[in-house]
Amino acid sequence: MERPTIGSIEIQITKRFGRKTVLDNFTLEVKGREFVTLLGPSGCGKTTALNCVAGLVPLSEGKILIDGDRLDTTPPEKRGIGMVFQNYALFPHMTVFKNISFGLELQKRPGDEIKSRVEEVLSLVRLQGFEDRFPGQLSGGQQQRVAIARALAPRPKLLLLDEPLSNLDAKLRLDMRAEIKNLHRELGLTSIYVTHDQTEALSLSDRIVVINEGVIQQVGAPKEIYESPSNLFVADFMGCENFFTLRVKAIESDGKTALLEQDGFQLKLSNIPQPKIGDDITLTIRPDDIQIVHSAIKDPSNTASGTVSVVQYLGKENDIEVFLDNKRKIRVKSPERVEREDRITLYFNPEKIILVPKG
Amino acid sequence: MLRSLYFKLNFQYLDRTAFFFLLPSLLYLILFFIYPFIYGLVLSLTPEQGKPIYDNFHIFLADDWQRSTIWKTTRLAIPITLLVVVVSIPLAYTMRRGIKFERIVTTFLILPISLGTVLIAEGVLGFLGGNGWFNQFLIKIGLMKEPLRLTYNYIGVVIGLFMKNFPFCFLMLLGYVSGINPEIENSARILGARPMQVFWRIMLPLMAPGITIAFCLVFVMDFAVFPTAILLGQPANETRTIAIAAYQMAFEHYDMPKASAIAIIMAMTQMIGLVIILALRRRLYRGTSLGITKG
Repeated sequence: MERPTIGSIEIQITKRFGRKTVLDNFTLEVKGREFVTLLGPSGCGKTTALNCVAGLVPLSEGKILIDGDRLDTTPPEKRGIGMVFQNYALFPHMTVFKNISFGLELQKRPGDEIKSRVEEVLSLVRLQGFEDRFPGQLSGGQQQRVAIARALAPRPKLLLLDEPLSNLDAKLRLDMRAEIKNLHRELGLTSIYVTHDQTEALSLSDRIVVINEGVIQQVGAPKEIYESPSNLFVADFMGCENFFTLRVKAIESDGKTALLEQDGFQLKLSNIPQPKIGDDITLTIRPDDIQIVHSAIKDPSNTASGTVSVVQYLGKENDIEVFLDNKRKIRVKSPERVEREDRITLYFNPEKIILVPKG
Repeated sequence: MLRSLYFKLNFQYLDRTAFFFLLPSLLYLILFFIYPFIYGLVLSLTPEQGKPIYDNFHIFLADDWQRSTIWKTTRLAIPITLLVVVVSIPLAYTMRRGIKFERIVTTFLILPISLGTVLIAEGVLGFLGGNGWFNQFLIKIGLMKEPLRLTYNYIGVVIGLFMKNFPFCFLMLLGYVSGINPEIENSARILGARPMQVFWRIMLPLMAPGITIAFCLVFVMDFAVFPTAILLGQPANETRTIAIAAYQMAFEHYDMPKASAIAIIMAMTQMIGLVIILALRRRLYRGTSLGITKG
């Protein structure tokens, strides 16, 4: 199916609401056919950025260019963009057919073309036969699929999705996620997706843009963001819950392996670039990368003992909170069966430890 | 005792329990609405000795002068209601996402509600009357030789009723339209609709239920016009509304049966008006009732 596409969209936005700066020189380039996700906590400005691209919110400063043409000075109805909203935003007084044909009718397409296009997008979202239903007669998942079909029908050159899965229940969310991924692979439509859910971002995106308080923290492929977060915020947001700042105490003769220590907690790491004695280094490890060891500790320098304080059963694993002997609190996810008050020893695999750059 | 109360509050006895809790409001309704209504109805059907049962109605409807009050009232109520609603819609629509100085603007708009009919009428007389500021100004600048006749006639009642009922309608519609999920109009914009197309094709149909209710309520208030018609109109002739006719029959001729008949006729006319309004709305926007208007 022939669909229009763009070479690239260049975004450079500063947005203030009153005295509050919501987006501070937010700069991003999205290439044609790319799926980019803006990821961040609520209130970080990601939706504002999307609304700026859609033309629903005027920029305070900056510009948006599509293939070199100014987009930000064009009214929203002339931008040729499709958008999917969190609350579906279907027209409740129109049937599914009328909802989807709305954009086509405004383009003054002939009747038979409208009909075939509505059929086409309805089959894309697997909702054939629902033409005469009203939105109020559909389930949440069906409504969101109609919303996607409605956005696709006028063949936009850019698709914006504003937390489209947040209102769906957990199982439906997974199904719809797969469906969105499929649609993008099939249509190759340049898309900007907004979410606060890291798994959504990781599974859907070609690139992720992590935002906090209106400032881009990191831009990169999902693997890059997940495995080497650029700062504490990104690491925390991507699910690294245990953070330590340790001081380099000694460096071994190879010049790479460093011994770090703080309050009796010791780690031996060889992936620190140019370690110097006396440096403070922030490290993190994901709860599911920590192992519970029972005996025969292979590398005593990277272990710590403590007492289990909380155990939450999650089915295939337990979410365990451990108080280490040095008063540090550690979150561990492990299938091991432990009980509250158990004494356990944790092993911190040096390969799983992530260095968090300062900043 | 407790046990039986428990059973009474059980699901299968829900009807009886519901009735129990509804009792106070039912009692109120019976005492202050149904009983007076039936009393009036019976009274209206109590003619003078030897006359047919419908005589009180017949006397009113057969008398051209009396019957003309129905037309005079309708002639006031429908245009004023239309004016109030048509002015309220764009205003409420523009203010749906808030405007600058909204609090001050809203305060001024709703002030007439708290002032009461008589004060509004006094104000209108002082400002628009034959010797009022407005006419003095027109004559001073040489635009008029004679003052415009804006009070003690049809126009006077239109102005007075508009001022009294507009704030009510405006507030009702403002509440309704600002409750519509803004994402709906945003999505229409992005799909290619210009602001006017968004209004006509999306927002107006979504506002239709609110507009209908506002229209009905304003129509009923306008139809019952009494003090404004006397203070600002020409109650002896042009604006002799049906309420004035009923009042005169009751408290000038002390003929309660005939006054009751007039009241019943007034209620019937209102009902016919409401039925027409609701039928029109159903024809205009059929789908709305099926959807969810509020996001």
